[in-house]
Amino acid sequence: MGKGNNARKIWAAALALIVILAVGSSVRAQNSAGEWPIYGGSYANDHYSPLDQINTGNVSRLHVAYTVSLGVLKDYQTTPVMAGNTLYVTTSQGPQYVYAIDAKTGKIKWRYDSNVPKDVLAYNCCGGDNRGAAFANGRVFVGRLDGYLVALDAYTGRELWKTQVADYKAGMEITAPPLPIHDKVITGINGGEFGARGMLQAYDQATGKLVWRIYTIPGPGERGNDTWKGDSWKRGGAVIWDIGAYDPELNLTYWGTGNPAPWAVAPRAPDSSDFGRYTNLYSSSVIAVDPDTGKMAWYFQEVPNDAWDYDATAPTLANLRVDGKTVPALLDAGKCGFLFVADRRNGKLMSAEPYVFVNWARRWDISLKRPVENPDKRPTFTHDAKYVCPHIYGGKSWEPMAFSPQTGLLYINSNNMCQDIKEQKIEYHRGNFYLGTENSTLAGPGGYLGKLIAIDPTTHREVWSVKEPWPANGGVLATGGGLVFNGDWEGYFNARDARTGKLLWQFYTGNGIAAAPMTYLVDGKQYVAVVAGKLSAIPSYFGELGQRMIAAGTPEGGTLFVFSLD
Amino acid sequence: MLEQRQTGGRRKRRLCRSLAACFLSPLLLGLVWSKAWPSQTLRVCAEPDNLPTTHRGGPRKGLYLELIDALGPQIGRAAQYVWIEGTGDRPLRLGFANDQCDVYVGLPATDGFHAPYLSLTRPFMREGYALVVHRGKKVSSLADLTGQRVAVQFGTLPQVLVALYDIEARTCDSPQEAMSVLAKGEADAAFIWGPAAGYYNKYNLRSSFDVIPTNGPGLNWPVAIGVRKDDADLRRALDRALEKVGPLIVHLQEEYGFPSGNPITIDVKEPTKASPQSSNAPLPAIASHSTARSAGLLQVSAKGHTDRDAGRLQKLAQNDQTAMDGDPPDIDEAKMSPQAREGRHLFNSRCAHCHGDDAITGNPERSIPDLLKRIPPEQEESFFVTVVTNGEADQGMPPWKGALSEDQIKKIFAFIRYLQDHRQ
Repeated sequence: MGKGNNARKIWAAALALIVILAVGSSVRAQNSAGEWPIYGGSYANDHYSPLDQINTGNVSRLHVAYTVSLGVLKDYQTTPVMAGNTLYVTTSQGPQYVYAIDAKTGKIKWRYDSNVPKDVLAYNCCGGDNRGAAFANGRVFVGRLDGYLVALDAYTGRELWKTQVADYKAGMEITAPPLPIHDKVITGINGGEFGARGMLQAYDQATGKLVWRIYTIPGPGERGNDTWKGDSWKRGGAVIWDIGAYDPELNLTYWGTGNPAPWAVAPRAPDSSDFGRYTNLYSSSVIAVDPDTGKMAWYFQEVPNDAWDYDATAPTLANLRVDGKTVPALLDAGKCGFLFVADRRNGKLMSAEPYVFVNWARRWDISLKRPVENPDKRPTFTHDAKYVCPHIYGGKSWEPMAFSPQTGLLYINSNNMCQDIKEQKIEYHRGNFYLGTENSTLAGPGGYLGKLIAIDPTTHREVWSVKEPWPANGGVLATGGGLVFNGDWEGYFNARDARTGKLLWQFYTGNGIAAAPMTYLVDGKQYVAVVAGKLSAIPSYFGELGQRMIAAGTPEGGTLFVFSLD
Repeated sequence: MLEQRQTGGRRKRRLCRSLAACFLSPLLLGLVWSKAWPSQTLRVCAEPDNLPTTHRGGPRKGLYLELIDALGPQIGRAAQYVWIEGTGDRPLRLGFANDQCDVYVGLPATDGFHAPYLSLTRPFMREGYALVVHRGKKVSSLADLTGQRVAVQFGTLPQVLVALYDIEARTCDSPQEAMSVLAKGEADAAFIWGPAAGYYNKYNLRSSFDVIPTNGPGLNWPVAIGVRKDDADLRRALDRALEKVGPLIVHLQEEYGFPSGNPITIDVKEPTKASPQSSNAPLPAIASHSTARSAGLLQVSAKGHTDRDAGRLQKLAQNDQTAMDGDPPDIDEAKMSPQAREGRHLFNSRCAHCHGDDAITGNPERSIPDLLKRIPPEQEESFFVTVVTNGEADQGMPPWKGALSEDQIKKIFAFIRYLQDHRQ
């Protein structure tokens, strides 16, 4: 108990500091204490830490401090969170386990066994991944593949409450970390391929009771409902499957929504590039929501009448210098291949330019508030579209990008893949459907499959880039030490100069990395952590290329690596 | 000898519990005795609640299970059911990957079905979608259902076809739901998976509907039994056994109410257009695109546009500037008159299609005027009413006479005025 009390004191102090810094009114302030309490490091969801003990000058001396084998293999997309002196790490497959780990020594303090039903994977769309937990007010929050959100006591791992968000047997699941704001914890839910109507909901942190729930598709009588044909809005997808960001000053939280359902366009809109008002709001959009009430403040739609599965992804907040003024901006690198830069006060788009090779649209016109499509690249019931870029997996999917206020650059681990798309011929078997055709996966122009890009979001200028042989590499971490960290499919964990992209340090983990790294400070010392454990579900979407990825990849694994200087 | 066996079989029929076993018994007697008595079980993976094909318990276990019961003795193995639940092909894959299944009955034997870990037997029947209409109603094509409400299942081909025919859909989550919607009169017809429709019609709705099979690409397909790829002996044994089950299958199909009769052929229609005018007109092809692509040099940002592109972009930018001179107006319904508020709703439901929501996104390529500035405040309301009422044929503005009353048009004008007065 004595230990617990000490820990409580430390947490209380840390929390007080967080509060003070948060009042200091920056979306970035939260992790100045050296903690990393939520997935993106701070509410800005920028995967940036100001810590600079490990820097360009000494990173070559970085070495393993400890490793922890997580006991569950494959499909790791998890990023540890850290508060006080403890790391909280989720495994894949449920998550089957949540660990509390002494951030300094790697010793396991407690392990929570979620006991998710064994058949969850039978109902799930995209693999057994989980992206991590969230820490707030002495509790650890975790969303699960069986559609439950749970709160654990951060000191003991005891389950405090467990609330069903949706039924996993209806194809709905949670893979993203929740977002704690004030006294609430907010989560979306997946299920876009199975006829769900997208939802975002807030629960009371103390009790797990539902406080509000909103739908991402307007109902009858609400504005935007008439952007759907007939009754298609009822099962129109637009699910929120990844994490959001939050601006405490504006008190707005920002989320990306997924593609409209079903994939075939005709039931929800005219099956062509000439779709008139049938834009299918608010699918493939970024929405801003009041976290206290759930009221939507604004939106912008990246892909109206999406026919490609081009979800909007988790947005990142950044304050940009534009024409000598600081603009509170929101950045979203959508799966559609455009990087959207918007004013996060009102959602007004400042620019939208491709960050990877794009050919489904000729450009994205911010004054028209829509893309100018290339109709030949839109698959319809009677038209198979060839060599469509980006691929269904997106220019970037869930893999988090990082924004460094120090360099003013945005770091995106992108994919360079295209595909031939055939209209899905659906063959019925009960409520199930088999996808009639595989999406053929082709390398994009240049032949490489992935690329780490540093972009100036004010000009969309690519400052540097590194081509990578494989797609679906891990997310990015940027630090105040002038460094950018990321892992890759083959298992290398790299540190680069954030200004030039020069490789400064590399460590072979022996297992494919898909997760995003993080960094923290404990007892005055900086550590960098990443979980290695290659993806198995994702290559199965990549056809023959996926087979090559599996052949070239490492065995299955699941290990937390933590690095430090001497 | 043959006659004797048949007589014996007929007598036995009364005693046996499985319809299939009875039906096959005359054919099987010789075979069964010639083989070793089942020494090995045949693990049959099936869904526990999927009538009319598979069901756990109850008086009717489903066509697939009755079929496999009949095949088991022929190949010298007794069927043992392994119940697997779940959505999509994952349960199937996991069932075989985890070595829980020897066979799975009822997989589509088509090129499109992708399960590289399986090989399929010869197809034993066809299944597909059916049209369900009130008994005796004459239907010869999908177009005959125009103007009616048609129940479909989400995520199925009929959902797409009904939409392409511009027929109003009642979208459901299952064929059972579609049949009950139909029975309640909330739909006039249904276009759903035939076996479920037929079964439900026969056993729940006293055959008050006609369930008519359909023909057309993707609308029906042969079904077969899937076995592990490396289990060629089992597949061959099943193939041999399947040669003899034709009469049994006909009988089972009838028993379970599968659709029968002449199918209706359904043509795939070209996509319909949202409006006679294009709101996202295709731009002419840009020839240099393909050249750039083959050179691996395509743009990562807009700067890679070709000269021809640049000219176009510049032109568009100029147009954009015309259409979007200044910031959009500050829209606050609280500040609007009740007239303008109503006008806003009318505008956004009728006019926004071309003029953009709140009139802030016209389409410069189609010379849609900027309503925020091109109607000078000094212009009379009556001019606005005239233009909207009669349209401007040469500009692409349709006449709204009949669709909007003069009063409604005046409300829209009040809203436009509000916008013009509140430019930032």
